[in-house]
Amino acid sequence: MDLFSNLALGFSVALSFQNLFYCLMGVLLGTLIGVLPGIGPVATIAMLLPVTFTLNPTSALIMLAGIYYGAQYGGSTTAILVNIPGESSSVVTCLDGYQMARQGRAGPALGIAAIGSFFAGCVATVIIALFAPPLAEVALKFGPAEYFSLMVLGLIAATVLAHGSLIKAIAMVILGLLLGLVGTDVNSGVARFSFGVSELSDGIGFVSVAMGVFGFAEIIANLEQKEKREIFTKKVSNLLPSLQDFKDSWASILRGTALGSFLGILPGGGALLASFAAYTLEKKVSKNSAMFGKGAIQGVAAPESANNAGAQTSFIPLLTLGIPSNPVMALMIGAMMIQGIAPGPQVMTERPQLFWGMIASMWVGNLMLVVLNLPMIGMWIKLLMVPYRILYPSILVFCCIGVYSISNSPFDVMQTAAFGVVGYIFVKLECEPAPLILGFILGPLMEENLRRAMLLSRGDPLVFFQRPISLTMLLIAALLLAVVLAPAVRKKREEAFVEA
Amino acid sequence: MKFELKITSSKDFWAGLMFIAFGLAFWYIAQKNYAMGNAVRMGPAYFPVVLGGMLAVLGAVIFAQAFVAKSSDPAVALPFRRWYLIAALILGVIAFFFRDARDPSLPGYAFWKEVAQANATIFSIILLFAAFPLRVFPFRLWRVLVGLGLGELAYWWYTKLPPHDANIAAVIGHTLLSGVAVGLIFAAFGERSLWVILFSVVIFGYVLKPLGLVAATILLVVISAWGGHEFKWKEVTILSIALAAFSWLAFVKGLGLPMNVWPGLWE
Repeated sequence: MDLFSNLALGFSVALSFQNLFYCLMGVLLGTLIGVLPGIGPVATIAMLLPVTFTLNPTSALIMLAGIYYGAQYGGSTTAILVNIPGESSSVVTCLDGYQMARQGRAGPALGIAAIGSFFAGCVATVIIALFAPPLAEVALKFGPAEYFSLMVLGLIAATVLAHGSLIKAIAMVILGLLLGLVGTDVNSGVARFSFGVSELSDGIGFVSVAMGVFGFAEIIANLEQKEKREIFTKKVSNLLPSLQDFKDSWASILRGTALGSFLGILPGGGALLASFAAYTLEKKVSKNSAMFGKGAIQGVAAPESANNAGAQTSFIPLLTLGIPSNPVMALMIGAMMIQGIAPGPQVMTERPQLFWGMIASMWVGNLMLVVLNLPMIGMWIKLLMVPYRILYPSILVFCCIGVYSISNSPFDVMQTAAFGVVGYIFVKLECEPAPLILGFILGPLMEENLRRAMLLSRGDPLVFFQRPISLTMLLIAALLLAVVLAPAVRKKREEAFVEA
Repeated sequence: MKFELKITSSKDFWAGLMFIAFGLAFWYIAQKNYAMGNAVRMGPAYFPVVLGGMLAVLGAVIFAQAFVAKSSDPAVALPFRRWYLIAALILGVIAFFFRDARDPSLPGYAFWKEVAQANATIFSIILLFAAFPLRVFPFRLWRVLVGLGLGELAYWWYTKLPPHDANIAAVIGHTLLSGVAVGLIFAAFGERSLWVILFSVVIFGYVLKPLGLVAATILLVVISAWGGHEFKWKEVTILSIALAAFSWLAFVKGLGLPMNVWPGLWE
């Protein structure tokens, strides 16, 4: 069968010594930053982007992908032991995981999180291998009108699924689109919004935006709060969950995996949303929902499986359509562009080694993560004791060197600092930065496809409604908006985000 | 005369203003400087003008929400002087509509154009500030002004610098000056951690080339550590040296990034 020969190819790529090494580096780094609160995969990947220039494309992407799903594993450790989400997607794990740790069941909590994540990772890998090729085939038939509508749908979905005010999220998307337009216009050669600054005629650096808004702003916001971190369990013993634990949680793991895989594929989805949704679902279907928040193992198993599944399936829109569904995927697009690969459906046919190698590496990486996380848990706990006052200068040093090396000029560093200010203002004004990043990366693409579609239709905007695929996507987008704006759902949505 | 606006969400208030400002800025710059084109062949201005307009409208909606929304922020009363505000708006409108009056045959054309363009804008901004007592703006104005002035000076000096960073005094002086300028502007807003961190980053960017990676890293660590809650000399010294050594080994030796490691000024 085709699938098997493809997977065989993938494994032959992923199991080469070099790629194994970079996969290990990726998941190690991912676990590291996952464990450490205050630095997330977005800032880390942004930091490493310039460095990946020296690697070959496959190794680079394998490593960067490893950081993202590795962080999902690491995040749960901190959530369970310290009651602080090491990663935003493990916010809900704090609820029951920490309670379990307080009851002396930190070991089983960590164990079930890792086992659930591993299971979810395996399933998600298979899902990508199964669903990506047919989707890419459909995507090859897309014209500019379809692409434009797809991006509209993606951006709308991203705002609907972002938490906080919907209208602010839409405003952030538009601001991101506008910022993405800075630089030389490909059609006319005019340098737009560059104010005569030669560096700006190439556009605002994507790494600067991502690192300023996510990295620097986060550090500053963290510093404003007084540091308090209490590690409840210094020594974790007995990592293996009991038979009863397995009986209690296997269904939750299955549900979490299914829900997470589905939500990861959606534009705007990914690990964060998956974990929230899985927790809510678990609480709904559970017979003893009163136990939730008091140390229910299902409350750890489901969101941890879901966030790992979601993290991995969110690669599907990236690999098949070339559309990022969350900021991490936007960075992956950046990484592909650095390597001279145009993201899109043609990646699979033109570079099968890269495509299948990356998928196979996900499974390999998940296996590594189980080993990294369970037997080596003591090391990560030690790491948690490093105080933030030592961590953040280190993070800053790596960020700054990374940014500087993009073009070896102080300009990028200044630009990043400026976006640090902007990001800080966003934090203060409760404007979610994720939609901005998506808009930023999609800005030029969207304009290009809009122009082409309108040129082909001779200026008739109805073209977006006449082509069936395009119309469907616009309808879904409209439906999403309508649903969220409906008063009943609006209230629910606010509750869902408040709850966790 | 003083009036008060009841704001129930100060976050929406400022966010709305921010989006309106961004939207109008993009809209205005695009439609003024670039070709619009038409729907078939869109010029470089088309998409930004549409998006800028949408952003401004959304900003206005968010701004309006600030007065009605129920939010967790405490209700804030925004005091303002009514006539100042109205005058500012009128002047702003005049400045806007006279910005490209195109009939030079009118008597006193040049004079009025000048007045309308520059002065009305300036007056309307001043009046706008006067309309709201300064304390409603969450920043320290004088720091911004001094910072902008110093930055201007630093930039002027920068343009006079020889291209190869030959003069060590000039480089250090310029770096300090612009660093302080940026720091002051940052310091006008928010808390210490904000501006100390960003200040350290800006300094790093400036000194990396002339002073080399080791010195830049040590500076970055020492300054940024000062932005935290505790500052322990011993710890910071060890940390800065360790990080400098690590980044030298990892980035320059390991990954081969082309960077000065030691001060390259005397070469």
